Amino acid sequence: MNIVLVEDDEMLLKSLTFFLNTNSHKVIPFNNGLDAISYIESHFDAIDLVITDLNLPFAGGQQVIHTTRKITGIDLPIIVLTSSGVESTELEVFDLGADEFIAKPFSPNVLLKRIEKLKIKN
Amino acid sequence: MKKSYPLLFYFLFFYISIFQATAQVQDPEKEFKIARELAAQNEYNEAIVNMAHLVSAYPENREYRLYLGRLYFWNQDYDDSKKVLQSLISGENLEQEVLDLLLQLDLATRDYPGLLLKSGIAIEVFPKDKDQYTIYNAIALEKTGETGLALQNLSRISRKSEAFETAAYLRSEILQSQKNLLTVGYLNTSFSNPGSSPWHLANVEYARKGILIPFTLRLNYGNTFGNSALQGEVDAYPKLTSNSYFYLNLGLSDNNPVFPSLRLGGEYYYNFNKISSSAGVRYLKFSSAEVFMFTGSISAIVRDYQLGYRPFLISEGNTWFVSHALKLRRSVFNSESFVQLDLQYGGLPFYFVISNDLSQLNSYRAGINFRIRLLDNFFIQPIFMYELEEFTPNEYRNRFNAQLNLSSRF
Repeated sequence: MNIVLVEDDEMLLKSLTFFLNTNSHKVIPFNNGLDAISYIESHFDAIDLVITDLNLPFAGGQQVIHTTRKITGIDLPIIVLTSSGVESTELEVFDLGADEFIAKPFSPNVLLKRIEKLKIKN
Repeated sequence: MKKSYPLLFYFLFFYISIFQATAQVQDPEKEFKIARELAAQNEYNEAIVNMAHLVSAYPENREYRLYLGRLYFWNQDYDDSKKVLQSLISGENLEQEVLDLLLQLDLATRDYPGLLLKSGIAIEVFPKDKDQYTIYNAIALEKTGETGLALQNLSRISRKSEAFETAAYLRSEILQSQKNLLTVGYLNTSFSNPGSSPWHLANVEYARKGILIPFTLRLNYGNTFGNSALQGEVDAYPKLTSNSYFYLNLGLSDNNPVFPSLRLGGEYYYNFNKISSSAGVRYLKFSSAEVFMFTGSISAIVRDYQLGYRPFLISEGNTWFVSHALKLRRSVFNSESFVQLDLQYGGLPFYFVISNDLSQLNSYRAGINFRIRLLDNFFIQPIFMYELEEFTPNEYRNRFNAQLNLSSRF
């Protein structure tokens, strides 16, 4: 899968990119929402999945979700990484159009399983 | 034109610096060796200067950069170590050595979410060393509130694995962090040659630890010579310093011949390395007598063995008794089990059973005490003690104590 990964924690971004790449995915990493939105706008046809953190510099995760849905409709699956664990945030994330959310901290195989689940669904 | 001078100066400075950095490292392998030798002598600051110099001269050399990250780690400069290691990760490349050091870094900085993620990656990417990474993963899971999963993953490590001992140790550590223990116990004391009706003692106990003052609440039921009675007790263990604490005891019962109506106890414990020592006193108020017991203890741990000695100096009115108790315990930490041999001599009544009968003379006791962990959180503790009891001067009888304690931790 071609995955856009948006995460401002540099170490997390690099580690997850490496991990997903070793699991036969192709990751396009971004450390801020603005660059990610710009990439999604111009390459939405070549993207299979967006994974985004909620708290991001320049443009937040909500904006990434909103833009993705605006451009691609319901076709492109979105997974949100959230550190809040608060129910209202989870509901807000689903309201915005995310398909899955993963609360931090998480094991990487949990992320892989969610990706597989979305793959089957779509 | 004047405005361009500073820019020119910076360019010149930059090129000179690069030139010097490269030029000064005539033999990089020799420099690397010197840095390693300095590190071996714990001269980390000097080694860091050498390696930083080498890294700036050979920025493409990943081995040098990794070693610089390692030096920062050893020097407990975790931020700089992280910065250096971060430069070694990319979406296409994450060497196992780099990941290993990152795991150590997360552990040292208590970054448990980071540890959870990276250990998970290590398990998936380097399955050959899965067991080793499961240890890191279990630590992270436990610290992020997934204790059940941590225990489950650790129990999957095979006995044949090199990581098995560490996993078993960690499992015990995690299990022991639980704060509550409920115990029920029964003690039967019988006599022969000459025989006498047996004594029955039962108790239920709740212990709480991991709080400011750990405590134990105990309710004892006793039936001796046809008399029955109840006794309530509380023990508290206030911590004084990192290696010393007090043991305090209060016990109350009604006016009966089975238990003292009041018992008080206090003992100061001091631990030094593998040696533990204590000194304290007990007070027992019976209906017809008052008893003071002065006691102390010293014990030493050598590997899995503990050897302990406890004397008692007992005063009832103007009469003094001396008693000695010796124990040798073999512990198996990873299974929280032990076997203990007890040898005692003197006039001390057995265990917590304190009766009016302090007029006994010399008694010789030998016993064995087992504690076995079952199913992680259950314990069974059978105790047997034989006593050759001088019940009237120069007349001895056999006394058999059989006790069983069952405990559950939660």
